[in-house]
Amino acid sequence: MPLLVTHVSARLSEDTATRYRRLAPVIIKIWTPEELASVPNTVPGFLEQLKRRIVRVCFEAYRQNGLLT
Amino acid sequence: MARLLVKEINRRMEETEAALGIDRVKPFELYVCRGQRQARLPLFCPKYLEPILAGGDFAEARHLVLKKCLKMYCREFTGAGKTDLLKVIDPWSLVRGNGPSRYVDELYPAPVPYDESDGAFLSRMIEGIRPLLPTDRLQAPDFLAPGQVLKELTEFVTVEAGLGPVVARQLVEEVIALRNICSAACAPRS
Repeated sequence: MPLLVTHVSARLSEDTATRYRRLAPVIIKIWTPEELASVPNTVPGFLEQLKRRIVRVCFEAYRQNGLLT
Repeated sequence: MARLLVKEINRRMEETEAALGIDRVKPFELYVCRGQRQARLPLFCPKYLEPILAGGDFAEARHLVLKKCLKMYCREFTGAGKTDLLKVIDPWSLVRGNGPSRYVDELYPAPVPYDESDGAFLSRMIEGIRPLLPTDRLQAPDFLAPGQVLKELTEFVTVEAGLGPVVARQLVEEVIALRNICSAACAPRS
């Protein structure tokens, strides 16, 4: 999934509107084949997988100079 | 002026690429590929904000997202239903009914100690994440378009912005390159 996100070197400021902020184009994987093949059916298991997916996706963006957090 | 130029360049490029069979995944579209079939699910577009801007809540916007995505999903994956789509874009809605339904049941009674194995797993996973940068993905700047389209767009910029033809041509190519960097080319349809 392609996204336009805040660039790692963007200076965040209340004086700068979001549309003038420096952005980075990134492509993230919402699901890896392994994750999609084993989606837990319980709330604790699902939240554990979700936590790892969030970490993975944030670092995928970060390695492409983008910030999701 | 910039908004006008970008809008026109995007419009012409979309027309041209559609005629050539080039399909791109735009920002905020989820690309789903199963076997020989593929779909692009628009998870965000300005239209979804209309209910919120009109004073509604997020549930109304989510309904619009589901409706639009379901239409696109079912068009490409024959026989698929709402549950199949939710598994991809909102699996939490399918699982939440299986667990504690009260918020207080989710609260931990004591701080959770740091899990060494969890940390080790995350470290390994993070080390293994090496996505290609946009410049590596494209290998070379992609500002190509049919000559006639480039010529017409250059003339358009020359007239509307009052730039010389060389600068206008450069501007058009830069916008096309940015457009291609910010999207992903789909696999060719068989």
